[in-house]
Amino acid sequence: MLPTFRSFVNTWNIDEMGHMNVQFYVSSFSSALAHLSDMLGHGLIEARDQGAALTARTDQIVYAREMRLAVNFMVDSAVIGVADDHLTVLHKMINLDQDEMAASCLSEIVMRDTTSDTDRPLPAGVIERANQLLEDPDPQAMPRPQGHTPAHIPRNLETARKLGMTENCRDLVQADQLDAFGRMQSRHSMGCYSDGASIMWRHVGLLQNPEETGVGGAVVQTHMTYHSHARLGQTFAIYGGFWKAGSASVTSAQWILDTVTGKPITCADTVAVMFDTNARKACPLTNEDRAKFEAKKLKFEDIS
Amino acid sequence: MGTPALSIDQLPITFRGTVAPSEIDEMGHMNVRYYVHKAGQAAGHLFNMIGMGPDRRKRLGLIHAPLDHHVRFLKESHLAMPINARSGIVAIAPDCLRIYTEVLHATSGAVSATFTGDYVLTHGLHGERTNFPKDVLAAAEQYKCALPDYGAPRGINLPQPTVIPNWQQAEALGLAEISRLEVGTDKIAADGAVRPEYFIGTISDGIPAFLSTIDIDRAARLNDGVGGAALEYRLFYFRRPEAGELTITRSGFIEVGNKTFLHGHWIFDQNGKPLAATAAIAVTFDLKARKSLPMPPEMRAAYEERVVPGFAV
Repeated sequence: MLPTFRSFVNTWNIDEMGHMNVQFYVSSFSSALAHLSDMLGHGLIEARDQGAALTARTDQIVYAREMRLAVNFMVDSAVIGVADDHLTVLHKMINLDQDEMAASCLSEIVMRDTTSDTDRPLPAGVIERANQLLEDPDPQAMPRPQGHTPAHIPRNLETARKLGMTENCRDLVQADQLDAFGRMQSRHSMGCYSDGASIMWRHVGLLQNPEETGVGGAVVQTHMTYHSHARLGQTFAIYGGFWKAGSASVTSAQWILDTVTGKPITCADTVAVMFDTNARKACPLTNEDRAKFEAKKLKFEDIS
Repeated sequence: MGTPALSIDQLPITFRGTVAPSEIDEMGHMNVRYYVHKAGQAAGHLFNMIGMGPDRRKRLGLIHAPLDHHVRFLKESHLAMPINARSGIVAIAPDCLRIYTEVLHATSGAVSATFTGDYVLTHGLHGERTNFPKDVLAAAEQYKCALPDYGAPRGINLPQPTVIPNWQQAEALGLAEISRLEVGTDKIAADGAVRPEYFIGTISDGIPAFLSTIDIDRAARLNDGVGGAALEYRLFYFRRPEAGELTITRSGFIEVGNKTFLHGHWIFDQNGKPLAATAAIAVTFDLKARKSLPMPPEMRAAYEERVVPGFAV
């Protein structure tokens, strides 16, 4: 794998759970992709010249270990698949102080027009270079299969309302949230999901008072799909809800939707746990917890 | 230089603010990058006072930027402290003003940090350097001051860089890579290029990794209340990158003393071209007593082993 990012966990990366917030994992992987793009011969200058940048169409992120304050870390990246229309890239985040994998991200990378958000075929030069860099995936970094919102469910405002999703966030895109091409950075999608998650937990009657109990929510794995990219001043809202409860984890769907058109910007299926901030470990779900989820869970079968 | 027009106490206030929670680092004090940020804001206000404020610059298509900074960190700043800065001009040339700024604890008046930097005007980001208008130079005379002893170079006396960073040389010297980043839009100034504090920020973030390769119990030491603090920085800015550009920092020890160590950094862009060069003096810091500690002999020996012969800034 190739070194593509190297940094440090600062105080301003730490959230109320006492660890690096999920959005900063995403920003690290995004920056890693920028370095990898440069290695593939399609960096910032080429992207500007051609009006198209190597962009993640999907990200499957595994949060394997907490990243606490003042940890040194890096990201290594590898091209593990090459097709005419996309590359498959695996990023591995390593906690350098503990010498262990902290997270990974399996991404489908496309050549996306930076104005229209449509995808183009990959240039021959990029394919050639990607084939030179091609390597076998590190099995440790590959995500485990996770549940997904069924493909036939339309991701839009109408469906969100039919499903009874809660509105978890309503905001607009600010100038400092944009990437070099004027698109909202994926980090901020994840930041909005993270901020909105407590609304969903409270909707099902759990994690009502994390400050007092020391138990909050923590994300284990996320599958993000980037349908389009929000631009400066664009208003959006996040709708979401839980749809599956296992023995220790719950799975939610959260959709960032354009408030004007109701169309999807980014959609995510997320596996999360209840996390004890004192013991620094996940709490199992009780039967009572599961009953609360069942009572409020999204019913995809109601959508034709 | 003629007679200073103003004593240090007479310098105008060019910044007022408060240390925010988001500016506090793992050492429990305001991180170095926020001092540089505040000094930059102070310079903006001083420019306005001498008739070269944002309205006129915009009208003329000019931007102002520092070529360098010499920084002395004298006193920590903690959460919620009211902070002021005052600024004057220590040297005037037709195309360059050497601005002195000191960051103060507003309630006690104690000087927390000092900055000296050469500021120039250019036609846009990529345009030629230009002279200051005559009326601006005349106004600048009214803010002339002498550089106080506590703001003068102490451990790093580098009027100019002694070498321009070179990627091949960094490889040959075996300089450590301490950061590999992408410039985000949140780091960009109004003129479209990265704000100067980005450079010191990348070094601040990279130093723990740099020291971890030697001082392997760094995390444990932090838990025991032993950290580090910067005393002095010399920063030379060659080019400020724009959003989406990539930066890589290569670093090494230059000199190790009894209590302090001098480290150097070369910052490159995605093409291996130099963006900045920096030298800094730091100490081991007792996070409980809030004062510097003598360097343990084993640490000093380990650092000395890593001094890179031939490396300079």
